Amino acid sequence: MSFVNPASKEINCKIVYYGPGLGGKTTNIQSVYQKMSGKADNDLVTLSTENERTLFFDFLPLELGEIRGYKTRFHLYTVPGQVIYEASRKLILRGVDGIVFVADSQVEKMESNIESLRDLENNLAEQGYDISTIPMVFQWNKRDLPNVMPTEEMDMRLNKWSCEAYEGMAVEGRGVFECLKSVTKKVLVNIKRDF
Amino acid sequence: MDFNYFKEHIGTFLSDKNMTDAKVFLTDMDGYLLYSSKGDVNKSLIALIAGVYQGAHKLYSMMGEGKEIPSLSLGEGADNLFIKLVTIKGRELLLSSVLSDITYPARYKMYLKLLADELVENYPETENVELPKKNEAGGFLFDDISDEEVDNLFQL
Repeated sequence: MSFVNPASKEINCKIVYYGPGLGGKTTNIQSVYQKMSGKADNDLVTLSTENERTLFFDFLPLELGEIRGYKTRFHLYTVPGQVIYEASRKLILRGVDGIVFVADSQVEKMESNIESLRDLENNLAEQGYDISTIPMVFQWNKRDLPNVMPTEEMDMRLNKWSCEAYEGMAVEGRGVFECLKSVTKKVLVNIKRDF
Repeated sequence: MDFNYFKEHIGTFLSDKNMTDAKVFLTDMDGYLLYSSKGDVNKSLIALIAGVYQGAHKLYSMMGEGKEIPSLSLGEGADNLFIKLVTIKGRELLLSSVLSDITYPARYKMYLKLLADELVENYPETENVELPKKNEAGGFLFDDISDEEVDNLFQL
């Protein structure tokens, strides 16, 4: 849940990048860090295995400046995508305000996408969230690869909630900020209802 | 939460105990900072404190004990990381301190536990929090936020 400090007029929000292993979640957050280093509150924290798979989480605090007199801070997290790290994913989802679901566009990865989305839905439900109401955007990542599924089909099979969806090539930064801006707006709009 | 209460109470306590050099933080479970004895603080550090505590707590729970860890202490001798769970009005917070080259770490931790107890006991029944007005900025916070305003947030 977003954290508002009325005294100092600060708003802190938590955005989690979710999706199957090797789908590009860490690449997304690294791309944000590279381009926004001037606004990154501190360094990108990466807790990864020896072969650079996410072990616990990546964390990037962003101080985005003021909007209507409120300072906005966004905490970006990724979850570890590998199935075995389910407990870690549940922890990281606590207090989430918005989700970027990074799906792998390769045809052979569709089952992994579906499994990860089901995992997200269940983990959110365990914490009392309804996936249909939480601010969420999809990124169809790795569009540069040759064996990708048409976006219409990905949308049909994954995006049951008609969320906004963007094509992505996170390694080149494409689609990264479109997703982040979109979820940022949804999160900010959502604060008004809860506050 | 009442930020002023934390600022005043923790500041007074640290001063009374001659611990003004201490690095003491109060955060919520999501790693948001409510108080820092050292002013600006590394946000990544705060997120890691919350992550470490939650990870340890989950580990403890999964190993069969099923209880909450009231405090967590990492390190030996003069250099420690100490995290204490504080539950105020049903909200779980973390009082943490980085102990670096401390001569009497046990006494230091005892004081932090005492501080945690006092924060709970003395928390005001009625929070002295000034909430923003609902109609501020022409609506309810950001109800008519535009794409341009969001774009501006990302301008370097």
